[in-house]
Amino acid sequence: MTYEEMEPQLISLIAKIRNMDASSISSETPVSVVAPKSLLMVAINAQIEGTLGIAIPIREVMNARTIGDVVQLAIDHQ
Amino acid sequence: MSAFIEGMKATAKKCPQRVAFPEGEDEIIMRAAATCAKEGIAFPVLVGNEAHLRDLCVERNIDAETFEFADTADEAYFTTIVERYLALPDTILPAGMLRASMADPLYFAMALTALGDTDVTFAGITASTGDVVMAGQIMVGLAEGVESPSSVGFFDISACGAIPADLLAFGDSAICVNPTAAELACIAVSCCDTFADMTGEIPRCALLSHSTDGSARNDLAEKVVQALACARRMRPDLTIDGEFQLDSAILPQVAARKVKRESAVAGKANVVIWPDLDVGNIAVKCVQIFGACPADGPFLQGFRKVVSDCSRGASENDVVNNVAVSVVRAAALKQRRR
Repeated sequence: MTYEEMEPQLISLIAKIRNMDASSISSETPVSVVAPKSLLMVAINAQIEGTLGIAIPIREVMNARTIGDVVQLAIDHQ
Repeated sequence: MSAFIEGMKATAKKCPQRVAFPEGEDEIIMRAAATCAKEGIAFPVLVGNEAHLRDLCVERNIDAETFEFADTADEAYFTTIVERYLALPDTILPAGMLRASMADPLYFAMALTALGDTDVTFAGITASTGDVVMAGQIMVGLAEGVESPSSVGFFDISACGAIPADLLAFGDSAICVNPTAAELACIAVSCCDTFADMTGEIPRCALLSHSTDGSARNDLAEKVVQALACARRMRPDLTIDGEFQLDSAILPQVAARKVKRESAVAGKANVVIWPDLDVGNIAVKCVQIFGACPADGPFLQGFRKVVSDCSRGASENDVVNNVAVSVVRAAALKQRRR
């Protein structure tokens, strides 16, 4: 999957998990906006595997600063 | 070296535990682990690529047979540990994410400790405290009833003469920034358990405030009042009281004037709980600078097993001392859970 293909899928997944409007999330959105507590990011990461079948190591996803970083990680580990 | 640490090392040598070191590639950690083995403080388990670690032992002129190795490059062993971890009843993370995460020695070491293959995971010389805490929280998990990890430290007050005691434990000066009442209660409970594990003494824990028994009525004091109620519900077996100003908590003559009721803690607290990180951080520095009292710690706490963090600027000696403390805690935890 390319970045352009991955980004909307990931944003849609995050929006569903966090009960947010997907149009309010972009690649520039800080991770802290969608996951104010670190453990929420772990839960999102678990859903990325469950839905997209991509396993991202926890420590790498915890270092992501923006949603774009998470998209790139998903691409790197697909 | 403080008398407290000397005591910890002596105790550790009577009950050495298995300590997982995921940062064995670091020379300070490797040398400290070797010292711990040589002095009988711990049984070190270096976690990572065994062949690479053994090469480093040769380069550093350290006997590799000092260590046990948890070889993450051994696919069969790695898969066995992943599968055993996945089989734990509380494991809720998906297999792929766990397998990918456990390729990191920090997470693998935490899994070993969660499984009981090691008794302590010791890290922090390259990993940040945040990394260690997150890995511990996810892989080892928190102790029953505890909502968040925290830290405890110890003032060596033997020379200060203010109160007839050698040690005063304090929490949390490092982890919880602005704890809620429930989180403050967890900090108090964790500090009591760690204090008891480390000293063998009964903790008398004071929740601190700028108020004593309602002398001030505002949101800050109310948080501490609520924390006290919560802590007592969580653990009615522990001796916890407040809210007290510091002098009411530790000075008998002040407690007699300000605390107009029976209290097993007022005037004789051996564990004090700061209401937030600003207070905790500033208080410790004030004591160290103006009171010239050494402080040991902070030691992470609140996990199901012992997870220990060292400063990224730690010396070999600092690491050895910290490992000794971790070993004593792990041995006491096993005893407590029998």
